[in-house]
Amino acid sequence: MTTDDLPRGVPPGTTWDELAHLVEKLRRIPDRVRILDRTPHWAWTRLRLRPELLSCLTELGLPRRTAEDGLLYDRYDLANSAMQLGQGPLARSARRFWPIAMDRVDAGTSTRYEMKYQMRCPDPGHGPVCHYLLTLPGGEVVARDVPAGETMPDVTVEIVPEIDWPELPDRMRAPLAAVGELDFMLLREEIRRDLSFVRDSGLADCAGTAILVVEEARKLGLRARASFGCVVAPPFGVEHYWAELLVGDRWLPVDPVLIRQMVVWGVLDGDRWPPHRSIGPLVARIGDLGVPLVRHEGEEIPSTLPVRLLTEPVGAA
Amino acid sequence: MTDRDLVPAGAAATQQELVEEIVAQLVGDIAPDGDERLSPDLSLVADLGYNSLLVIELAFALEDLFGLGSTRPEDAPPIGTLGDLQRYIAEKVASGQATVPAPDDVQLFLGTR
Repeated sequence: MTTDDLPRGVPPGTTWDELAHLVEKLRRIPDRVRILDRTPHWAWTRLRLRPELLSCLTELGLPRRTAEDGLLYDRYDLANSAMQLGQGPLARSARRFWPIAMDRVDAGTSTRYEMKYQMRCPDPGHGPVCHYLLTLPGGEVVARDVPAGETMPDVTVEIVPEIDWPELPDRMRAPLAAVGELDFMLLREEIRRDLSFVRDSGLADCAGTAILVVEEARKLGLRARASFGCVVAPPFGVEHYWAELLVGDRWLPVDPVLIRQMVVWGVLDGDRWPPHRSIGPLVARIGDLGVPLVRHEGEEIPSTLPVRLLTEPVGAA
Repeated sequence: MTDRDLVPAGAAATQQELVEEIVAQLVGDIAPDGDERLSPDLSLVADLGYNSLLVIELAFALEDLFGLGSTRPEDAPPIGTLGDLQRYIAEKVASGQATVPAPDDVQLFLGTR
């Protein structure tokens, strides 16, 4: 087959070998964590994966099962296929919006953002009052009680990311090399923090990457911690995990896999953004791995985090 | 896909009504809790169950369907009510920054044919 034979929906420049390699990587994920319940229609309407492309991936071995109405796929396999090809909402957002926020760093002055916490009661009618707990950037926990039936008002925080992050010293870069070849994949909860799986498969999401960097750093006697927080890049904040290494008296956020993926996508300049450069200006730490962002009646619930730029950096274009 | 059908071509009295119907269809299609009761005062988050990733999904779907061009961060769709979103798209169409998709294109986009 030649590149001319590639189906509609394949990004220009992609080769058959790359598609085959993508499927091979997906097959490293054990079948036991797959839920084969998503239709080609879902893949098209939610991820913009064209049926022709999905057929091609299927032919190459993408896991699926045959049901009465046709083939069914795993949601994560489909999302990862879209993301690895630079498609799908998460990849598009990361490619479109995150580099803008990262580039502001080079303007050399700080930027102010406003981030809103939006949420809703997951169980209407459970009682007379909804008790919410929100963990804000920096770790402060705030409580809000809202009468049942009323919408929880947005909680707004102002974020001024630090921009003067030091360079990671050479002697502290070895733990990052341990994750240098990992491929970023969205993974189900059952395996995302399983370092045996991460090492064996070469696949990791942000949580697995963070945990592995921390483990490797501690083996070398370095002080490290896995952090949870948000990517603060207008217009949409996204929850994220990353590793932090103690440099002097500052915890330095690093995420070599994220930087490498963005360089591969062509949205970051690899010379200006080597894997060891800190992602500090892009993220706001909420707490350690496992700290819930928003809780309702004690249970963690999803939220939406719109972000708005309040000021352009002084001197920025 | 919800059970609601698209407004047949020509059924919408005005272009604005057509925009509103298409936006409602799309919002309902992506929403975890999308159903027959869609109305402009419903909140994407509080009433329809949108979370961070679904909001991003919706924003790009609107961009693709209405030919919005590359959304700039400062001009992203509002995450408020369905009505806010309908007004946002209607204004884009009125100012020539977006186009109303043909019914066939809408159906193709939503995978209904």
